[in-house]
Amino acid sequence: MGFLEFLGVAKMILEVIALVITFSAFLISYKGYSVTKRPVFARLSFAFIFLSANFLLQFFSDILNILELFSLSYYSTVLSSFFEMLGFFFIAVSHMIKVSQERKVYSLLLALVIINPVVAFKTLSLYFIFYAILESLLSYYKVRSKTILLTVLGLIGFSLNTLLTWISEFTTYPIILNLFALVFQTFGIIAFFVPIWIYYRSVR
Amino acid sequence: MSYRHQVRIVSDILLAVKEGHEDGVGVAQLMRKANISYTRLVKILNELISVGLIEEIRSERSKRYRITYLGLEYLAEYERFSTFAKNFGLEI
Repeated sequence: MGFLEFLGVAKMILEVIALVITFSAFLISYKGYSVTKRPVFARLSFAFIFLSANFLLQFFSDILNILELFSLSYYSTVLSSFFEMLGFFFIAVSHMIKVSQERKVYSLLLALVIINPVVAFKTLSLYFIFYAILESLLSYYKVRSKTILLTVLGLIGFSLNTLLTWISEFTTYPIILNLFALVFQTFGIIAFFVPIWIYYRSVR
Repeated sequence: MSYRHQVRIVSDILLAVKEGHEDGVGVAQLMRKANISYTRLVKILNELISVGLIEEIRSERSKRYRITYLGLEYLAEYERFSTFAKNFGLEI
């Protein structure tokens, strides 16, 4: 197996792991909403179900690529980027994104979709992740919880992954970028697994 | 001072009731510990009794409240969800 194939397989395995983790987070958030009826859990449920859909579609996109159904794979990538953006949007909203900024966000979305939908959605995802990182950091300074810091590092991992995937859209040979993107995604997935693990450990 | 939503008030009351262990806690003590007015406290206590989260212990002189197994389960569940949200830098 060549380096490229290895990279492809590693990416697909990570996507499945990320799907399981984000879907578990969705189940916890949904249960949290049905027990407490707090809107924060409704927003987290939306965020994690969209992120799950993103990883599922990324996986499908890779499968379609292997089957040489390139146009279908492209549409799957576009849709997955859209869900990724929605996922991080809801995480940002959970951190009380200001309503007054929404109009700017939507106009930017319209302008960017015309250029390249994947690039547009990745750009918006980056904005939302950066916002969530900033707010989570502020929470960390208030509470000084190591788990929050880990979640922040996880978000940084996801943002670097998104940033590198975004840059790779403009490069001719994106293999090295994709490799680093994969490493950062792995880090993000591990960091996001911790709060879920803490929850399930306390249930037992 | 931050706004306390209903779920938070209920969990504060349950925590205060839990501290009374088997002997239970009186209304005055609950008002102080949960930082809530008498009228509102009595209304919530009646709701909690009706759903089985706490029980009333009647004596000749006073009424006291004790947490049930279901109440303890609810508190533990609330704590778990609160921790989950906090780990993402959020609050319930």
